[in-house]
Amino acid sequence: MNAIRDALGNTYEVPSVGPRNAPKAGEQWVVNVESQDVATVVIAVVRDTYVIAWPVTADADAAAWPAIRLGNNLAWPHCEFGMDTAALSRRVTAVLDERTTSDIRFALWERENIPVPTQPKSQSPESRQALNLVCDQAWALGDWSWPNNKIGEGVFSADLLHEAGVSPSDIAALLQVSPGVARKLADGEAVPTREQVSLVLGQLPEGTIADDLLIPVEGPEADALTHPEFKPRVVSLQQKMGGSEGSARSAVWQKSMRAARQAGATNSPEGVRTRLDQAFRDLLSKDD
Amino acid sequence: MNGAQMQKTTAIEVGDVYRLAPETSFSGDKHGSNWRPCGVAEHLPEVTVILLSRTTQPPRGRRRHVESPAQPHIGLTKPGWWTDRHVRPLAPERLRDESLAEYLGSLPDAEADEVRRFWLVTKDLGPML
Repeated sequence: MNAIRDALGNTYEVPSVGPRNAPKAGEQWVVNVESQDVATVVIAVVRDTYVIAWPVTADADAAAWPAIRLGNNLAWPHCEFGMDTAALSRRVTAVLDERTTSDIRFALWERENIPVPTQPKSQSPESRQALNLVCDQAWALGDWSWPNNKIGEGVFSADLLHEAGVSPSDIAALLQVSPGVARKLADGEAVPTREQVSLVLGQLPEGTIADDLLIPVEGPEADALTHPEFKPRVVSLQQKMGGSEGSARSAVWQKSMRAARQAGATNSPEGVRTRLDQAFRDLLSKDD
Repeated sequence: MNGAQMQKTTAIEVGDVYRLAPETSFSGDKHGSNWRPCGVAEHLPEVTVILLSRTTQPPRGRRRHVESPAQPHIGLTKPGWWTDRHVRPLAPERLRDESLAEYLGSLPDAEADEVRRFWLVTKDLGPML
């Protein structure tokens, strides 16, 4: 079992292992970022690479309506928030069915009775403080993202470089890399280092910042890599590489892109999965 | 405080736009010291306000979104997007706390209606756009 410290400072335990199938509405999942179990959530809505989720805490007297009771935990459907699927680690259990999950959201919207047991409707300074803490945590969990455009995780915007008149040959000369590497960097198919970002920024109009120059990695490999099944290997790779979880994920994406460019490569789910599996094998077995 | 302040004294409504302080997040907000523009998508009176954080990063892939043109008069200086990836809850009283929230104004009616319909679809309560 692993201990989770909730937004209110209380702890509860979750199994250290669990299924990693695609998440579904009504399931409780462990959120793991930067190799740490940081929270659990109930999935309310599933999108392609993100979910809308309800925060979960241990049972707490300070929690007021409409927090719903789920065994020894409370879910906060009135505090739902968006977060990346890449942050999900493993399923704890299916606490609600999809229909009931939807009915709860409908009831909140329509001000109708919530069809499951809730906390009492008793507002107090303590309940408002608890609500604020849960909302604060929801914002923090929602802020973690991958893919993103951070240095070491994002790639150059080919459009911005084109508009600024910076060509692959300019990049090759500036960064002292081969024409092939420069082309991949210019096309947004390789993740530049901090130093490379800094050097290229020096060629761009004054006021341009890294946030403007970098964009998140994208494509079938990036989307597939957000699936929870990859979390254990991402954690292993992050620990091996020593950087952020996002930099480990972007390293896998970059490695898989090399295979994606080879003749005969397809974007079928099986082809993408095979390339990601191979990228993980290569990176995890690579000597430091 | 962050620039000219104005607090809304009437009811919180869908389409109201606020700039929220980094202190609304445990982690101090990845936007650093910048305050973050957010629009009201749903208000559960005396409970929470559900906000959509406005992004100026183009939505990826099939990510659902509402386009939001630049509107400098309410502090939205660049074109942006409302998406349901960036859903954020907040206690309504925090929108009245000028140390945490600056009221910027209301979206034009057409954009506010789009945000309302967008959020209804996210809630599975309305037709797909």
